[in-house]
Amino acid sequence: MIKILIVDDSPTDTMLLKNIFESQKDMTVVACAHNGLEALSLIEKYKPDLITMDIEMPKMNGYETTKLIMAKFPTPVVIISSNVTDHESQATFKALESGAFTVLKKPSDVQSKNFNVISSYIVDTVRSMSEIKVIKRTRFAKSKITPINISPSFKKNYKLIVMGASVGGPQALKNILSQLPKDFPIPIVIVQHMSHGFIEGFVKWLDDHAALKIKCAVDNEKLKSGIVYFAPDDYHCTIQQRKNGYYISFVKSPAVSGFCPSITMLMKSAALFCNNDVIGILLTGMGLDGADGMLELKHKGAHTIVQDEESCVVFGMGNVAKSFGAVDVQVELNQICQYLITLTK
Amino acid sequence: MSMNPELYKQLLETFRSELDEGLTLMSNELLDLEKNQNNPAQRKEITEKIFRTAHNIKGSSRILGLTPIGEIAHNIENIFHGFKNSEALIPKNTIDLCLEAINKINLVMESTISKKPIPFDLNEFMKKFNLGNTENGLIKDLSSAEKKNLTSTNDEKKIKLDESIRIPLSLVDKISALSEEFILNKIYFEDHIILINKMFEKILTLNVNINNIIDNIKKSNEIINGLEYREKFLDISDLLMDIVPRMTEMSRDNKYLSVNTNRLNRQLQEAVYELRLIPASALLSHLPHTVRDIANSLNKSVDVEIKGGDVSIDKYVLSGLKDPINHILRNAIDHGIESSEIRKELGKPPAGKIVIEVHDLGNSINFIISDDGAGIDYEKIRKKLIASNPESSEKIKKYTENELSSYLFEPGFSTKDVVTDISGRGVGLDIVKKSLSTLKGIVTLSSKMNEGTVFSIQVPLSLSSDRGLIVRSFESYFVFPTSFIQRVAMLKKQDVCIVEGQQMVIIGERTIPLKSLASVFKIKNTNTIGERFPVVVVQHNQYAIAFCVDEVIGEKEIVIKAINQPLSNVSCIEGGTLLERNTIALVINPEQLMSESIHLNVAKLDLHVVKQDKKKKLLHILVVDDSITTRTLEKNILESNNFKVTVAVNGQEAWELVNANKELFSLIITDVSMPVMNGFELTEKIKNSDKFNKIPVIIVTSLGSDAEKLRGVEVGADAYIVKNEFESNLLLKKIHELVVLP
Repeated sequence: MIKILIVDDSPTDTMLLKNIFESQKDMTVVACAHNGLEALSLIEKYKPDLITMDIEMPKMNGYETTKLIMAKFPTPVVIISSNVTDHESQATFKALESGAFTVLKKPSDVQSKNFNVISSYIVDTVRSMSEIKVIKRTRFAKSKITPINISPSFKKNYKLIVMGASVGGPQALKNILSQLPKDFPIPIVIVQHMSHGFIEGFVKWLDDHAALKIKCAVDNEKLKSGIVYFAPDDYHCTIQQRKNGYYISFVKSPAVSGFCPSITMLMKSAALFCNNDVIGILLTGMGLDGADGMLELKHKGAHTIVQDEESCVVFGMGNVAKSFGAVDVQVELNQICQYLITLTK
Repeated sequence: MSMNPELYKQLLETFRSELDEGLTLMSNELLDLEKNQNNPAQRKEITEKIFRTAHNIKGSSRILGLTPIGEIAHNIENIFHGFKNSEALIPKNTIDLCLEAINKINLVMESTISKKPIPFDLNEFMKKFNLGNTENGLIKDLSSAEKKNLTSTNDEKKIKLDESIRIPLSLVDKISALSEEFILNKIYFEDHIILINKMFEKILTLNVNINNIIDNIKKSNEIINGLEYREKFLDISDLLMDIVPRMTEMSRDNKYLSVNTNRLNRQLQEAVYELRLIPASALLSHLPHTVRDIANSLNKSVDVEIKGGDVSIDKYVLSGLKDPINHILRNAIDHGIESSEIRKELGKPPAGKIVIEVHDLGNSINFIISDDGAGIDYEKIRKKLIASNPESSEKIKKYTENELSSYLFEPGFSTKDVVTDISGRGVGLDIVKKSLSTLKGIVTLSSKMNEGTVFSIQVPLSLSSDRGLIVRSFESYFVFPTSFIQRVAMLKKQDVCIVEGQQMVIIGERTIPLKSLASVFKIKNTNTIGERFPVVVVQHNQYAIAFCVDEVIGEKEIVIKAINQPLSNVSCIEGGTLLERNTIALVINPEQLMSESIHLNVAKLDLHVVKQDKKKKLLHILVVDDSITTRTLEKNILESNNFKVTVAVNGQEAWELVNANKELFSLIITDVSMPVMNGFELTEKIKNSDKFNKIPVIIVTSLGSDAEKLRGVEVGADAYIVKNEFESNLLLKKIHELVVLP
C-alpha cells in the first residue's frame, strides 16, 4: 500500500486528490494537511511513502515545507501546482531544487473528457515516485570538488553537448548550468522530462540563475555557442546538421520510451552527424529513456558521461546506459561542470 | 472519460463552501485594507491573505471547470500579487472593483448551481475590471498610481511630486520615537546641570570650612604639628580654588549647551512632526464617493460640499478620522436627510446637502459636518431616556439639549426606530466617540429640528508630542496633558459654593464642579483644603471640572511611556513620565478622568478644616558641626525623614542663625569641639536665653567620657549622642523623644 499525505490548503483540491488516489487499489491517503506546519507534524506521525505538495499555503509555503521535509524526514515529494508560468513557478522550481521529485499540474476541468488521462498520469507518477528512496540532500552539498583527471583520449575538439535528465533533473541541471561560464564555447541541448506546461517556467527560472543564456528551443533555430537549449513540450527535439551549422528540428511523432520529447530521440539525431565531436550526458532519472541514444552516440565516437550513482536521486537511466556499455565515464554531480569546462578548453 | 457525476457533485459542494468562506474572508480583508493600508505589517498580512485566497479560488474553480470564476479570481490574484510586493497604496477604486468582482463570483456560482445563465455580461465586466486596474497603473506602474491618487485629491494645490520622496510611515515613527528618547536625555542632562551646580556650592562651602580650619590652626600655635597641617590644608584650599573656576566654566558651558540642545530639539521635533502631516483632502476627497454610495443605497439624493481640504494634519490622526467621519455621514444620510418627497413637502430643495468643513485651530483641527436634514428630535431622546430610566425622570426632564446630545454618544443608544443596513443598530455614535478618544479627539453635536444637525470633531494636530502640567496630590505626582487644561487657578475657601448638593467653584463667569484629585484616585478619603488651594480646570466636551490639588509644579514637555501589565488598565491613567531625579509622574487621561469624576460621587472636600495641613509644615532642625562629613550625614538623615534642615559650621554661626530666624527652630543638634564657639558654649547660651530655652538641644560628640556627658547635662543639653554609637535610628529616636510630631 502506498501511504500518501496530501498537503493543500484548499478543501476542494484535497477532496479531488483524495478521490483520485483512493480509487487506486494500491494507494491510501493517510492524512491531509492544510499547511506546511501541519504537514511536518503529520509526516512524523504517519511516515507516508509520498507527499503531494501545494505551493501557495498560509504559514509555510510548499517550497519552505519541502526544504524542511528533505532536511528532517526525507520522503518523496511531488509538487502539485496550479500555475505553470506565473509567480507560483518560482517557488515551485525552488521546491524542485530543494529536493521535490517532480511537479504535476493540478487537473483542470474535471468534467472534460480527458479527465481520466490526467488522473491516471497523476496516479502513475505518484506510484513510480513513491518507490524512490530519498537520500538526504546534504550529502551532495558537502562532497568536495576534487581535481579532475580526464583521460587524454577524451580530449577532442567538441562542437555540441546533448543532455538528458528525468527525476531529480531540475536539481542537477541547476547545479551544472548555474556554474558554467558565460563564454562556454559550445551549445548544449537538453531534454528534461517534465509535466506538461512547466518547462517554460523552469527554463526561465534556470536562466535567472545562470550566466549562460538558457532558452526553450525553437524549430529551425541555428545553435550558437554559449546558449543552452531546452526541448519544449509536445515535440521531439532533434538536431540537424546543415551546411552552415547545427539546427533544431522538431519532430511530431509518438512518444519514445514513454516520453515526448525523448532523450533518445535527441541523442540519436546527434549520433547521425557525430564524428567524435559530440558529448552525450545522461543525468539522474527513472526508466530507460536515453540509454539507446547514448549507445548510438558511443558507437559514433561521442564521449558519453553519466551522473554517478551516488549523486543521482534515481540511478535508473544511467544504470541502463551503463548496462548497455554505452558509458565512457561516471562523474559526480558537483564535478560535471568542471569536467565539461576542462573538456572543452 | 470524465469524472463520475456523483463525485463531481460532492466536489462542487465542497467548493461552494470553500468559495463562501473565501469570498467572505476577501471582502472583510478588503474592507480592512481600506482602513489599515498605512500599517505596513497589517497591510502585508492582508494583501497576502487576499492573494492566497484568490489564488485558491482560481485553482479550485479551474479544477471544476468553472472558468468565469477562475478568470475573475485570477485577476484579483494578479492585482494582489502586485501589491503584496510593493508599498504603493491600493487605490480606493481598485478595492471597489475587487469587491464588485467578489459579488460577481457569487452570482456566477449561484447561476452554476441553479443551472441558469450568468446574469451579467462577463466579458464586459472583465473589460471593466482590467481597464480599471490599468487606469490605476496597477502592478506595472505602482508609483504612478500613487501619484495619480495624490494629485487628484489636490487639484487646487498641486504637490510638486518630483521634489519629494516617499517615506514609509514606520520610518517617520522611528525618527519620532528617537527624538522623543532625545527629550528624555535632555531631561537627564538638565538634571545633571542642577547636580553640578549643587556640587559647586558644596565645594565652595568646603573651601570656607577649610579656611576656617586654617585660621584655627594659625591661632592655636601651641599644637606642635599645627604649622605642618596648616601647609597641607593650604594645599587643599589651593586645589579647591583651582577646581572652582573650572567648575564655573563648565557650569556656564553646560547652561549654554542645555539652551542649545533645547533649541535643536524643538526644531527636530517640529521637523519630524511636519513629516507626518498630509493635507486633509487625502481623506476628504473620498467622501463624496462614500456619500453617493450610501445615498444610493438608501434611495436618497445628497450633494456634498467640502471646504478647507488643504489644511495639513497628522497622517495617523487623519486615517483614524476616516471611520468616525464615515459613520457620521452614514448617520446624516440615514437619519438626517429626508427623502425627496418629504423634503419637497417641507419646502427644502429635493437633494439634501452635506457640508464638510475643515478649520485649522492652531494646535487642533476642527472638522465640521453639517447636514440640512430633519435634525435631532430632542424630545424623542428625552422620552427614550425616561423610558429606560423611569426613576430619574424628574432629572431627565430638566436636561438641556446639550446634555441630551451627549446621551447620543452613549453605548447602545439609538433613536432610529427602524434598524437599517446603514446605521441605527445601537452601535452608532458611541463608536464615533470611542474611536475619536484614541485620537484624543472630541465630538459634539448641535441640532435644530427640521433644519439639520452639525457635528463638530476636534482632533489634535498630532499625537506624537505633548506638554503636560505637573501637579502634586499628597505624595503622588500627576501630569495633565496641557491641551485639555482650560486654566489653573488659586482659589480661596470662600469661592466654594454648594449647588444641588454638589461642591462648585466660581471661576470667571462659570460655576464649575469641584473635585479633589486625591479622592478620584482614592489616595485619601478625607480631603482637607487650606484657606487657599490650587485647582486645575479640565475641559472636555461641554464639561469642565476643577480638580483640587496640593501643588501645581509647572508645565513641561513630557514623553509618555506606556505602563506595562498589570497596571496598564488602571482607569484614568494613560501612562507614566519621568520627572527630575527619576520621580515617576502618572499621566492622566483627561477624558476618562472627567467621566469617572462625573459619574462617581467622589468624596467631598472637607471645608471645615481650614487650617494649613500640619503635615505639610516641616519641623525645622539646626545642625551644627564643623565637620562637613558629619554635617552632611546628619542633614541627609534628617531630610530623608521629612525634616527641614539648616546647617551651621560652628557655635557662633549657629547662635546667629537662632537669633536671625523668624520662627523658632524645633530642635538643635550640635557637635562639641568646634572652632570659634564650641557646642557646650552654644548650648549654654541657648538654655540661658529666655527666648530660646525651650528649643531642645542634642549634643553629638566623639568625646565619650562621663565627664563630658556630665558637662553636657550641666549646660542643659536635652540628649547626648556619642559619635561612635551614632546611627540614624538612635538619632531619630532621640528626636522623637524630644519634639512633638504633628
